[in-house]
Amino acid sequence: MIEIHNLTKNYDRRPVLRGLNMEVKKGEVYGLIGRNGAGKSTTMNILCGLLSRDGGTVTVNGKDPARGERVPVGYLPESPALYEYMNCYEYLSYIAAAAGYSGDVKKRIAEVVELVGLTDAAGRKIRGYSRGMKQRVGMAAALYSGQDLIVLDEPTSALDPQGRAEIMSIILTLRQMGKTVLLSTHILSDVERVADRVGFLHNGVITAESGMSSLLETYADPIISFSVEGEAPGLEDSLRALPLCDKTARNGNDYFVWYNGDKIEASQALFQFLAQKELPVTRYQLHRATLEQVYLKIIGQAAPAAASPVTPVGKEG
Amino acid sequence: MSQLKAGIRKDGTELFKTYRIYIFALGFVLFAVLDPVMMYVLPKMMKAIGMDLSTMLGGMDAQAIGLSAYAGDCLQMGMLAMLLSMMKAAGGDQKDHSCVIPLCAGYRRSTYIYSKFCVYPLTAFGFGIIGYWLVYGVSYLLYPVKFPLSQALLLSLALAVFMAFAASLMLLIGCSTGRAGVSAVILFFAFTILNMILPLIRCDRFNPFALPGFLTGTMEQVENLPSFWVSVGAAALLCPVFALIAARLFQRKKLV
Repeated sequence: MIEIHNLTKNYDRRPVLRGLNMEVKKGEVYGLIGRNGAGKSTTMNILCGLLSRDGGTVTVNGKDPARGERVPVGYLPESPALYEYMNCYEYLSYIAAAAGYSGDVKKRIAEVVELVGLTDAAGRKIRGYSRGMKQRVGMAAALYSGQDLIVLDEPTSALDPQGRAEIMSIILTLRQMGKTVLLSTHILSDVERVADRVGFLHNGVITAESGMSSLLETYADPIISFSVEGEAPGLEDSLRALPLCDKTARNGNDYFVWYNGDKIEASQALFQFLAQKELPVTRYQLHRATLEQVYLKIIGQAAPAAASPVTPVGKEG
Repeated sequence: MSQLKAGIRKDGTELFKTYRIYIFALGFVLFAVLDPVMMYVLPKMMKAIGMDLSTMLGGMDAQAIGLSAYAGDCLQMGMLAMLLSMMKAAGGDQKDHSCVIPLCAGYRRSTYIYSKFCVYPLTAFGFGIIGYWLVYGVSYLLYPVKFPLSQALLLSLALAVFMAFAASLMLLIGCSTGRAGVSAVILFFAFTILNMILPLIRCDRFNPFALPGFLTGTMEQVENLPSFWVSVGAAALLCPVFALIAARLFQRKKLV
């Protein structure tokens, strides 16, 4: 459905995409993950023909958006700008005409409005909608014309947990309908719930790309996470020196340890170590790493200094 | 065709629902009522305090005074109101990205531009005609020396076509630069300055910028018919030309 090879893009000579390669197959939900400024929106804007590229090739259904061979795409920008003087029905009717929708417009609007959960508010002017409701109108517009490719740029970044859950359930419905969805976000728990495959975009390239389950299997080694009360200076260095420890990460008073060997032995050894240090442990958990921890691990390997609040530290340095 | 119809309906609706049509109308209609009344009352008030404006105005009882005053204000304040009310259409939608979703959904970029050129210059044309005939009616009632109907017909056409020309130019510059505010300010000052400079360098004939001269009476009304018709024709012809150029430029424009 989407094929991108060696895509490059600079903003004022500052490279944002440095030879991006990725592929999205028909019918899959692909999660494009990266920090703010990683180039996710730039990639999506190039795909939708809204932005020119500096190099590389991009095809959507075999057509190149840069050559004016624009493939209609259901696109939801991060902050969808709508015609706020219209109500939801009027807006969707306009999008229907814009997209050249040939079916029963009223029926389709009713379907899409119901899908995004706006049936009760659809007669009101968009001006009076909350941010989450506007996001859902944008989602309805992206879905309206029944395009096969839906591109969602940070669809949940400004939403409350309930709004996020609703958008995620819509994406799951789209997956069931066989739509191809390209989803960008930095809220990794969202991607974990809906994506078939993910790509980590870092420094303008995909640093890792895999199916969700195989990614977790490959990277998500079992970890021990624990929290201590108060400051524990030097604890991270001491943990790294332990023979059981492969890698550590810290987020405030929360510590993450990627261990080797048997989990019981590793757990006992670590607990013993903490007891010797007489540190007040408030939480201790043995579990598999989440996508967020996998992301931090991979990005940490790619650029340790840039990996924001949690700083993963590997023995290999 | 259905895309064009949808675009025209949307741009038309936008004019009304965002109340921009009233700003548009105000610029054209308000002065149509105020100017002839003001020009009728002012000399009488001045005379009451001992100042005679009759020599300055060249005959206080002529309907032409009201028409000329209106044309002057319309070309200044009316033009400003029109340009400001067009800011959303002429690039404002690119700045706030509201054009992104429809264009991604499959709306042809050229059609998106053509619908604007159908709505705004035609609205300007319509208000030009309405404004001119309103001022003609009001001043007809006030002044004893009437203005020839045939000339009023030509001048109303000149005003309407010139305003449509200005609206088209605003759309061309705004849509191709994506900077509506700057376009409006530049155009307003450009029109004002050109209207002053062109007569001085004798370039005030046979081009669209000659039309304000006919309207404000600096040229002897519509006595130079060839120049009048060439100017009207050129202005009218340039409107669709601007639309074609704007569509062409918009085709490959970065929108984000």
